[in-house]
Amino acid sequence: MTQTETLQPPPEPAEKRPAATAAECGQDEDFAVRAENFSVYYGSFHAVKNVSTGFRRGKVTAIIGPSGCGKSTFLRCVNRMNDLVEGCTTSGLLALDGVDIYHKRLDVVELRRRVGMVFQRPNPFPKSIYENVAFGARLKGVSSRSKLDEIVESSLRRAALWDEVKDRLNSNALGMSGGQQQRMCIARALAISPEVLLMDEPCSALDPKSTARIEDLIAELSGEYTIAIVTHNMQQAARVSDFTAFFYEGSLIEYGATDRLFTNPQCAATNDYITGRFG
Amino acid sequence: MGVIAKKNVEKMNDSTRKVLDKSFTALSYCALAAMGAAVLLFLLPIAINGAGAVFFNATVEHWKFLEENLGRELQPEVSERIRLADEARVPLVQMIDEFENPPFAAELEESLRKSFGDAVKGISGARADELSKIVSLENPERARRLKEFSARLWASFVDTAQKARAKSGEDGTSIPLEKILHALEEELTDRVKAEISNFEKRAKLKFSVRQQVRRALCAPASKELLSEAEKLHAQNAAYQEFKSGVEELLGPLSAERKEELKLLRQRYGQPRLDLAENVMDKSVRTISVRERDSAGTEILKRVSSAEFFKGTKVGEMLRYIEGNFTAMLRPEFTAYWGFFFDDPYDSNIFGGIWPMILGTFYLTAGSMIIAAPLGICAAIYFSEYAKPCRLVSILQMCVGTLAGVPSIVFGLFGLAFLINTLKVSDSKSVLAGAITLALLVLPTIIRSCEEALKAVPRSYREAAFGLGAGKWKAIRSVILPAALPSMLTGIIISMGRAAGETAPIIFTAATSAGAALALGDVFTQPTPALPWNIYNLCSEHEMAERVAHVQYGMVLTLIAIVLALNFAAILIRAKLQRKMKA
Ligand SMILES: Nc1ncnc2c1ncn2[C@@H]1O[C@H](COP(=O)(O)OP(=O)(O)OP(=O)(O)O)[C@@H](O)[C@H]1O
Ligand SMILES: [Mg+2]
Repeated sequence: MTQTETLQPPPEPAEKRPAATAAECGQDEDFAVRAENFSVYYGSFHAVKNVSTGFRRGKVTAIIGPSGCGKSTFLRCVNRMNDLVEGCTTSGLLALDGVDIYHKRLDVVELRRRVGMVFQRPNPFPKSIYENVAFGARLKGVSSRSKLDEIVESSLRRAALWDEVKDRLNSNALGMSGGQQQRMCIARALAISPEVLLMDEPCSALDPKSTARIEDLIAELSGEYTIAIVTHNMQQAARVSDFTAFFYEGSLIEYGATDRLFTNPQCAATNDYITGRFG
Repeated sequence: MGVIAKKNVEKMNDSTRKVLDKSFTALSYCALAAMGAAVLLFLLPIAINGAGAVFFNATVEHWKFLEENLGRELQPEVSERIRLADEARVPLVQMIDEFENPPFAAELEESLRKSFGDAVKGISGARADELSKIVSLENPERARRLKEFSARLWASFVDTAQKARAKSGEDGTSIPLEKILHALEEELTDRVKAEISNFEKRAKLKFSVRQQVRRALCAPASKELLSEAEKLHAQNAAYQEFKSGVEELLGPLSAERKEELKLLRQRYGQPRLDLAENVMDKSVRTISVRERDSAGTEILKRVSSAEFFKGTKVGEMLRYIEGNFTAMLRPEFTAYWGFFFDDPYDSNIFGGIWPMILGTFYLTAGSMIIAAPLGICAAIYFSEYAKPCRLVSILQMCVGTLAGVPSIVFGLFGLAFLINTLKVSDSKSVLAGAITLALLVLPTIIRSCEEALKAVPRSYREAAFGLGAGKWKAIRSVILPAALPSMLTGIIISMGRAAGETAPIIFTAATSAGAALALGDVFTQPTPALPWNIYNLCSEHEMAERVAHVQYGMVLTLIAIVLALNFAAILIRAKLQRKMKA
């Protein structure tokens, strides 16, 4: 545990988190997604440990932390993507608009329509661009062609992709560049008009130009959507997010307004991480 | 120094790597070549022999069969060929006719009958007094004198008969004589009886004496007639053997004879040149004759006809056939596409293999209609819905075990369970066979579809679920289409297996002979099918040699069907994948 040794002081347990963090959390109503003492296990492995945090409504929350600290795991719990993983269990509370996401009677399909997700690697279906973007809308029961056209166009426009693909909507989505594919995946997620948009390292496979476009897109979408973005790029986190959560070895170390957290981190571990001393 | 050494090492590594690369390339070429050679070695003879079922030298008999039994319109030049062949056969027919009914036969018969009549009449006529005296004697003396009397009575007739035999032997026209001798032998007893009755009008005979007289008077003539007939018989049997060989080669030589014969194989000669040459060698140029060996037991011996019939009229016939073989059969190279579309006639000796092809199609399509949906559903259940639990693992094990069960066991199961217990049909039927085949390929289909579904990238699932797709929706609109190429490949390869299986259909669906089955009959009727009929032709056909070309044709057709299916699998896969890639 060389990393633990370098930490000064060692991370505190979640319950003893600095009071400032709790105060910053504010009122419940401000949070679209809220975690309370939330834990995730892969079998017996405790991947996310007693995390209490949230995503503010209409704001962008960045989740940062070294590799393997449970960022993706936490994010994927919000739309219960981890249900697909065998042996993944949770404890504690994770709520969307005050409703327990892991409630037995919760309709997962409905939840996923409200919480869209963009993955680290673009994952278009092997279908046409049009069909990809229209997929979610069709699932919701939209079948009229003009309505679908409208949805597809507006989604692609918002993902800043319309001009590039409007002439080849019927060609296979796999024929686009990686950056285009990722923007199409964002368009696809936007097409079901979710309330919350989860993005797991959406730019990690992209060039700076595509990254910039996606960052612009996030800025544009904030306010309307509640966005959570996992990123390894500190500058990106600083640029796009309003709030930042720092994870370390499955625990939430620090949460706060991005400006404050990046200029004046409360924990030494956060400071070490954002200044690049480890991770 | 160190730097130089290191460079050398690198250089050596480099060259070693190149050598290794090259040798691996060479090795893989060798492997490919070996595989190709093996395939060729295996396929080439089949291809060549199988093609022989369609492309061959057809004799006029082939065309006659097509015209008379299948109602085919013949090309004018073919009709002309038939006419020429028939013309060439006329002299042979004449020779045979002349040989069997020689002009002097009537004369011969007349003289024999006359001398026979004279002899018999002696009993109640010229020699009646002498006989009366003998009859009145006491027994041992009577018997002795009767014998003497009989010998004298028949002396002139026996002489005539022997002379006749000798003469007819010279000409080789022994057939009418043998017939006459047999006829006379049959008449003999009646005539003697009648003459003794006449004789009795003078002298009354005791019953026992009358019997003795009758026996004594019949015996020498009867013995002589039979022994003369027997001497002729061997020669005649050889001729009959030769003649049946000729008829096998050319077909019946007269319209009346054709009417008599029922089997198609007797009504027509050899339709193929290769078969005709074979018959020529086996049944015309050589014949089997009965001979007694030194111990006196009868044995069959093959002898050359030319030698056996040397100097006789039959020898002339043989020479004519040798000289006019081509003229009488008129072989011409043909492509008989009807091989694939005609019904078989007379146990596949004539016609094609359409019912077998159709039967194979029914069985394969039927088994796929049953197995593909079941297999896909089961695979979807296993890979998408089943939670790991004991029941599922038991089911999985069952599928695995089923895949290893020998196909004959499926056949027996089909008979015992489907037909005898469930009674899906009264006896064998395409339906029962299709279900059995479906069960046979089901494990393979389940496995391959399951693998295909499992191979769908997880990202597709995540994307679908992430967009709010329900499980079924995700499967239907994303997972299944992505898995489809591999699934189809598996299914089509299973289809090839179903098409080629013999054992499962032996007891459930296959019949060796039968016409093409109408679609409506598949639920109740059995059908011929390629794999079963191939087996049947080589193991149970009474003339396996005559239908070897049909068998090869069937093998080639079956292989072509299976290869075409596999090729289709590759094409479909490639096409669908190209569609998916972009
Ligand atoms: N399906 C899984 N089964 C078991 N353990 C898993 C699984 N997925 C992730 N983990 C473990 O959980 C921990 C957290 O993983 P997670 O993917 O959330 O990390 P991360 O913070 O997203 O890392 P990265 O920045 O590299 O993406 C890791 O130690 C990882 O090994
Ligand atoms: Mg991750």
